[in-house]
Amino acid sequence: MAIEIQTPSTWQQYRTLLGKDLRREFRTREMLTSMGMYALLVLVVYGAALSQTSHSFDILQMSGGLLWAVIIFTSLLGLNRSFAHEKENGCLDGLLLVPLDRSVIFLAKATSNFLFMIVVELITVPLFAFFFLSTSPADTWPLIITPLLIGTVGIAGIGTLLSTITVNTRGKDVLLAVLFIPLIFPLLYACVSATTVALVGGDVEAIYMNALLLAGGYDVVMLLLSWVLYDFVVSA
Amino acid sequence: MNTVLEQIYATILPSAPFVIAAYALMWCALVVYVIYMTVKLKRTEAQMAVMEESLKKIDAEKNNASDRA
Amino acid sequence: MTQQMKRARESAGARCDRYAPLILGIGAILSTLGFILAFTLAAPVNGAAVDGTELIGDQMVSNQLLFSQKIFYFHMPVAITSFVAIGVAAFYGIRFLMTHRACYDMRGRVASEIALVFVIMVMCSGEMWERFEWGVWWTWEPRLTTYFILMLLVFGYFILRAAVDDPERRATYASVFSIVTFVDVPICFMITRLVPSGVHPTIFRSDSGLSPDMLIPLLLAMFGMFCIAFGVYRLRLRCAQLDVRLEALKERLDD
Repeated sequence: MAIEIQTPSTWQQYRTLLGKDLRREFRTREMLTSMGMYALLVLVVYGAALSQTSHSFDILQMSGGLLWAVIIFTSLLGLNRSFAHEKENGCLDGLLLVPLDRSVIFLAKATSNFLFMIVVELITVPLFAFFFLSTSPADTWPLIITPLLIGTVGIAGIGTLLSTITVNTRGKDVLLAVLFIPLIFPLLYACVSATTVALVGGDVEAIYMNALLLAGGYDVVMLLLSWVLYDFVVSA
Repeated sequence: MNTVLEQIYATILPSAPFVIAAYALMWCALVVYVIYMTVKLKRTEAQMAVMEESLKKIDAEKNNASDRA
Repeated sequence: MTQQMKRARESAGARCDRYAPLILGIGAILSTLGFILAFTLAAPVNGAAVDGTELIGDQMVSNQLLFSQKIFYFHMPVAITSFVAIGVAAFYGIRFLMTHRACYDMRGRVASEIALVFVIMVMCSGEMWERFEWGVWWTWEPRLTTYFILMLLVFGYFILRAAVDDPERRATYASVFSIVTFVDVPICFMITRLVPSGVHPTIFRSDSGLSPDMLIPLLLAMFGMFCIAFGVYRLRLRCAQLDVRLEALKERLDD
């Protein structure tokens, strides 16, 4: 009599891997708290950096850039931590023993990184507005949600690929920063321009849509490339 | 020279050092790379020579050993 | 691999090595010719307008004649060559990931070194041109910024190689990174069409803005630079192969 072994589908594997990451995070809440504290402390540093500006200084022009700088620095921290766990407990080796398509690991990791980043941004953006945006932004300010989403997707995708590479090297954190920041730069530029134009007002339509198209295109290309290359990277 | 001709040629002399510097720097970068390659090559050749010396010594020892045996 | 294929591959490498110095020489001659023609044949470009008109040669000139634009005749070919070198490195990265043969990793590394040299050349000449033309040492202009990012990516490639110990892992990571670096090259090339800027006009349009007397030195310099890059690449590859043979010898001698 033949025994039927049911291999789980890709979607089920994805859900299991994602659930593992989310469950671990909700049990310890370690990464979220450290990322949240880090974002808060970067805002404090901003306070010191901007303390000498005159009262007539229009911080609204810089606000998009400052916000995205916080997000980038926090994501560098979070990306490193997410893979450090896997390596310490030998979880990655265990995963590699399972006969699955290794790009599913990439999807699950990228999604969990994306969700953590979104949670941190939900905390950081209101804090940023509270601390620095004393002059109220333009009416189009809800439009910053889309650049935040698109940018975070890109950061999660590229960051997952790069953190898988750098977790196995000497000088892990610094190397991640060295490799990550040039790759994320076009995305950062587009998202900063979209966010700034949404906060400051002015000629919103043209600049906003152009910037989002650029960011979205870059996202798609980088995510596809990371998906395809992830198998080679994680098997090395 | 009348003033118009002076104006037309006004930027040439100030720009000359920059143009020369640009081409010179480009050429220097290539030359530096070629020098770096040559230095590495010489070092490798020196190590090759050392290898060959030790190989010769080992061969001589083997011959001595087989002669005595 | 069969003996025949091995012999064919080795003779292809030997033929390349035999012709490499010749190609290097051709490259040097072509680029020198381009250099001379850039100053003698190509007409000077017009700058800002002046107050009057003068008859120079057989043309009525009413603008300042720019000498600093002559940097362009080497600046652009070197930039194109650096893009090609990064493309070659990405190609060998893909080949390595497909076959896991160390020879492709070595070729990828040498191609990246060549790319680094040419990127530095572009940054130097661009810096000199910018300093004179616009009086500042740097602007955050789209093409300058994207090219600077490309330079940082090539630096990052070498930093990544230095940080990994295991050879196979190092080769895999380096190949992946060189493929990702190549994604920035089309962005660099097309950025002036997407984001208009004052400093870098678009050159290769359908109605090309270049007259033949400017095109000739440019093309000569470009092919000269390609030949120089290929010649230097082959020479450096021979050095790298010699290093590998030396290491193998050392291992055997230690036993």
